Formats: sequence, structure tokens, C-alpha cells
Amino acid sequence: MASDTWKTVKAEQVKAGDTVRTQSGSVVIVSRVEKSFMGLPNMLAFIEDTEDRWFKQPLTADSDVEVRSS
Amino acid sequence: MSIYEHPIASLDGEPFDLDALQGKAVLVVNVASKCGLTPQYSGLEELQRTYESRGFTVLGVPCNQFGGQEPGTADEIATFCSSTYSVTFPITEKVDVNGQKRHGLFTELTAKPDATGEAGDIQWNFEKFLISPAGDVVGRFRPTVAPDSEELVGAVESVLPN
Repeated sequence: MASDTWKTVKAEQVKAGDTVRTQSGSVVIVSRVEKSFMGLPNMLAFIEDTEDRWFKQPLTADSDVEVRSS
Repeated sequence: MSIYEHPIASLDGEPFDLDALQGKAVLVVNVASKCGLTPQYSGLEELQRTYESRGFTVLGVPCNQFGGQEPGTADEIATFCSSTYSVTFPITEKVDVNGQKRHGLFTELTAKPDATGEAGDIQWNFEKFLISPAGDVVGRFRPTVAPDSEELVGAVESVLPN
């Protein structure tokens, strides 16, 4: 079985459908990306909205995250 | 369905009697222990102590959906609230406030628009909903609206039953 590989990108490059791993190790299945989190233009938030969970993870737009590709 | 008819437990796991809040002004707040806004507990407790005798209570509802900032057990949350902020207002069990598993109480609350007319999902920890003594959701305040702000205090004072 092929193992997952992770590619480092800027948070602002992430799009809905991506699975990302943040620097804290948190993995989020991105259902949508909220721009200007809490009105802050340099912030965004990944929102996972699935049957299993709803979870919101804010980040600075230029922070590094890993996107999974298999 | 009335706002008081959604079963919820206290932090200690015992059923919480939402019905007992009928006739009171209630400020429901989704709380978290490890958030930059967590110091708002001080202002919330100040509201509690100032207005409790006039038929008001804060109701804290822990939630771990925002950055995983409420990861602790019920005991850990209770200890944190009492030892760090001397919280005296009631705290419920940890629930989901957004998404498909959203607690019924928050289905009712999130239908209320904020001051800009936006309803729906809670933005972050420490969003606040004001319930009138008649059980109507009469105010919604986003997380950065401080508990001691003129906007929030004025709204609370306008619905106090006593």
C-alpha cells in the first residue's frame, strides 16, 4: 500500500478538499477556508465540516502547512 | 421548541435544569480554557456577581471545536474555572456548538443574527447569546465583544427582571 506523502505549502494556498497537517500536528480535512478570520486580513481559518466533526483551525495566511497527497 | 427544553448536563454529568432559568436573563457563552479570550472569564464573573441578585446568570458551555482549545476533562475544566477565575456561574457539559452534531440549544441560539445581521455558525470561543426572562434570544455578541463593554452591559441591563 502506498504511503501518504506531504507537501509543504503556504496556508493561503490550501483549498477545499485538501487534507492538511499544521505545525502543531493537527490534521484537518478542509471543507472550506474562511478568509480574514475574526476580521484580520492576514489570518484565515480551515473549517472541517464532516459527519465526524466540525472543527475550526485559524492560521496566519503565510504560515507553512503540509498538504497530503497519496 | 422552547429554549429551555433541550436536555443538557452540568459539568459534573448530572442533568442541568435549563427550565429553572425561566424568568431569568441568561447570557450563554461557549467557553474554552486555552484561548486568547479566556481572560473574559473575569468579566463574565463580574457580570454574574453584579447582576445575579437582579435575576441574571451567565451559563458557560465548554466547547472544543475551535482550535482544540478546550481539551480537558470535566474535572480539569471545573478546577481551572474555580481556581483561576473563581467562577460561580453554572457550567454545562462540553458540547458541539456548530456542525451536524450541534447541540439543540445552539440550534436555537445560532438562528439569532448578530448586530450586522449575520446568523449561523459561531465564529470562535466566547460568543455570547442573551436570553430574555421570557425565553427569547434577544442579543448575539461576537467573541471580541468584551463582557464589560457598554454594548453588552447595556443589553443585559435592558432585560433584567428585577
